[in-house]
Amino acid sequence: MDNILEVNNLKTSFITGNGIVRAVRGISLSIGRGESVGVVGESGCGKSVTMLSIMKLLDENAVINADSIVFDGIDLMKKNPKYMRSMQGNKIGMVFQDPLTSLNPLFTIGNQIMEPLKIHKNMTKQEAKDKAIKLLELVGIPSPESRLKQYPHEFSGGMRQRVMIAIAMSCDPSLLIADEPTTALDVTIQAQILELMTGLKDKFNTSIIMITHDLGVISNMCSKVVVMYGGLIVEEGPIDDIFYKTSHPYTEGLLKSIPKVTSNKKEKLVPINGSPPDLLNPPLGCPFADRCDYAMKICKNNLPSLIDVSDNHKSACWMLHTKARALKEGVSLSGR
Amino acid sequence: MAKYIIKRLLAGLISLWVLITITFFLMHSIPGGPFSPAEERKIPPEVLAKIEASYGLDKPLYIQYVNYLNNLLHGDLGISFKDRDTLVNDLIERGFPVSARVGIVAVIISLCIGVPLGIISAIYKTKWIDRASMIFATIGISIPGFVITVLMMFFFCVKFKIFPTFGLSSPLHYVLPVAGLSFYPIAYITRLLRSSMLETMRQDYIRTARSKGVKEIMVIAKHALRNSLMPVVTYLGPLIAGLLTGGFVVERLFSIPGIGREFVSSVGDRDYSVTLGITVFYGAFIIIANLCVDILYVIIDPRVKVEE
Amino acid sequence: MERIETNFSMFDQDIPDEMFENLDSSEKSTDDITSPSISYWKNAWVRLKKDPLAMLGIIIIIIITIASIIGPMLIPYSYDGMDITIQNQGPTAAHWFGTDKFGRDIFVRTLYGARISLTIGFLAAFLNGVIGVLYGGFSGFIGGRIDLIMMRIVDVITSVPSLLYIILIMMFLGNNIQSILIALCLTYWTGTARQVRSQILTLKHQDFVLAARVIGENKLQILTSHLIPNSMGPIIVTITFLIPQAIFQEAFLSFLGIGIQVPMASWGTLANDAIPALFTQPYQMFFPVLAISFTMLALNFIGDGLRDALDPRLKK
Repeated sequence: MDNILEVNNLKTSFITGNGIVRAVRGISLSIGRGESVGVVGESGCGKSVTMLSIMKLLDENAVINADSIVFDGIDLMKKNPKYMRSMQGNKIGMVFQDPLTSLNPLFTIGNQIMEPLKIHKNMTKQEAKDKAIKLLELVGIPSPESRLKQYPHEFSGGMRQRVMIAIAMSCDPSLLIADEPTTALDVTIQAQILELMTGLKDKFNTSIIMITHDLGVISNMCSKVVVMYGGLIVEEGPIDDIFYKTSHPYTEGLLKSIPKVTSNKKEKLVPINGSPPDLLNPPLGCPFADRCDYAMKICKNNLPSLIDVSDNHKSACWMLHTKARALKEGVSLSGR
Repeated sequence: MAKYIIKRLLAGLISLWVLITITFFLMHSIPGGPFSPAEERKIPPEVLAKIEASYGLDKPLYIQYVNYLNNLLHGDLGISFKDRDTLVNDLIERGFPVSARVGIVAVIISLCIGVPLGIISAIYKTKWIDRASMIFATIGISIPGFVITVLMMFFFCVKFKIFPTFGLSSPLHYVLPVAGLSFYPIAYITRLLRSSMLETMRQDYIRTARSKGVKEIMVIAKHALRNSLMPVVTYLGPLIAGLLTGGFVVERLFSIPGIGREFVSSVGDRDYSVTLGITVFYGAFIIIANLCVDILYVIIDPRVKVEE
Repeated sequence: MERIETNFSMFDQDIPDEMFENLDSSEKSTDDITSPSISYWKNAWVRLKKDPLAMLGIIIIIIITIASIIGPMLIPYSYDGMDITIQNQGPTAAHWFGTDKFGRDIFVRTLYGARISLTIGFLAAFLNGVIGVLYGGFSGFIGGRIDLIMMRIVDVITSVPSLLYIILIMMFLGNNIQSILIALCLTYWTGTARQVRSQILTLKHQDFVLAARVIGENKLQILTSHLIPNSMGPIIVTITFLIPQAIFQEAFLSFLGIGIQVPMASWGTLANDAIPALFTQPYQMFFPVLAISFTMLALNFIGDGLRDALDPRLKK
């Protein structure tokens, strides 16, 4: 499949007063055209930083290194900021988590939607205005003409997020990156927004990267899932494989900690004990070792790399090493 | 919008009334009365009584107060105690334009230097230009204006004889007074805008703007700046009022015949009606300046109306 | 102690079997506290110490304070001892700051001036702080209509520059230290009051207050043992900045001739006396003016340093 985005060995660190924080420690991703990929992980695992690194939206104290970041055939690592700017908002759109703080309170919605249109598509004011109205209709905002003159604080949370999506989609991007777009919204609104995004994806064949900590969101939208922990990818694969043929203890833990509404049995919620690793001094071995029920001696100081479980399904766990499989026959992840 | 303005106007009028009342009663409670220096001139008691009667000082206090308020409503600020031929209104009419000329230039200079300096310091945070302007700004707000004016006067007028020290007869005459008045405001505005910009640049909507591919200079000039201006606008009100009505020290040192100088001398001379009159004028001026600032708020930040 | 084996790759085939034994829970480190917890104040002090300007400021203030207390005792001249024969002399070994038009030693007068200026500064700031904290704390805590009225009063007072009120009050009360103090105290507390009130308003709605009420603490207890201590950071910063403001205000008024009058002399008065001699004996103006400048600079450095040190967001 032709890939719209290929990230090879991305490493991002932050220089802080306390030392160097290694937020992303070697990530490789590929997103196909029209594919929607979910990136899952708990707070601090590096999923947002990964996206911000690709988009080059990090502060000056960030050090971004990668073998290559190829978008639509061009390696972004070799390009200057001007080129990045021509991509941002144009070929790559981004939707952020909190629509209230992500919109400038002092400018009208119309102004903010028309901005990328004027920059990237060289539209006149009238052309931009017409397109803005169409975009608002597209995202399901009624009476778009009058809404253009309103300010962000005059919109509800769900509507604001729709506006953010309109802005991100305004220049027909090939890739839409959504960073926890529904986390700050009510559950019912969540469903609407996800539905909107799926519809847009189908209509325009836009690739979507959906960052979230909520597996429910992923199951609705994505065909492929990437699970991150401690700055690394621990498992990735098609959605059914991740859910039904789980091959990493962390993923298993995530799935187990979701309460099942429809179950008849009285099951205890099983949280994952412990807390995330310290990225100032990242552990030498598997980042999940200290919290893992299946941890082995080799896990403590040796970093497992991603190994094939089946077609397109990979996991980074020592349990999948040929020797481990031999020695631990009978022990396997319980799956779901 | 109209409701907002009316509310603000009303609040301002109440403040003005309080100021007038306090001033009036304080004036008349001061021991010694307005004519004690006259005792040195040995005015006979009957003449003194006649003079006092002509000023209405023999009437009960509350009647004087009502009369005074009445006169105020007609725009009459009374007569100078020191010189019976002078109307306070005339004093103000003569002095205010002089002070205002210097003041307006000072306001413009303060904004033209302070605002860009604040922005540049915020953008180039911790680089040498930021450190330099922050040290300068801290010095500017720490060392009193009158100290800086005196020092400048000494160096540039005495030692190097570049600038004149008396009056305002040429543009050159304006340089030092304006500089003396502007030092503190420039420093203050720089610091204010810098910290406001830094706060704004941390906001999410700045990241959104960048993610849309907006050029960095536009991110700063369009998105960041407008959101950072509020504290500076707030400062504008008192700044304009203060500068326009005369830097007391600057007018004294450079012998500028503005109302600031009149005010200070009237305090020393115990010329109550002048002191009172200028106080009222000053208070009214500030109320109007603040009202204009409030209107500016609403224009800049559409959320302000809603919060009222 | 086992050898720690690292650098195995997933594709190595000869990894020893024992590497695949399960890890004991003792070998896992869970819930490590990564940095020792220091109290807010200790942390702030550590941060303050790292600010060179703030520390410089503290040293300057300490030096000036000590000099103003001990200095006059050590110097052989009194502050009003006139001696026409040595009038208007520049700085010499005998008279470090020179003499004024009456032959008085300027150095000792400057030190006495320090006493006055510093006393006014610290006292005014402290009193204003207390008034502001009580007023603002009460207003914010009570809320409702009383709060509204109290804040309207503050609005009315602040809508006119305090300088006007101070001049008026001083005309009424006379030109001495007490009246300046009273005048300053009647006008400068408004900033602190507003500051404290907004702090209290923010804190009032936080969960720890709710928890305190659930335990059964009454309102006064909550105010004094929870709300005010938690607001102390910004309050201290505000009060610190009040000190140079008060010193400036007094110096300004005295410089105009409507503040402290002779024979008592604050720095402002000294500077005022020196105006006529500015062109001929500039040193008479310089020294008091330098004293004012250094003091205010030092205090502003301290204030800036404190503000950065006490800001929880910058915690390292």
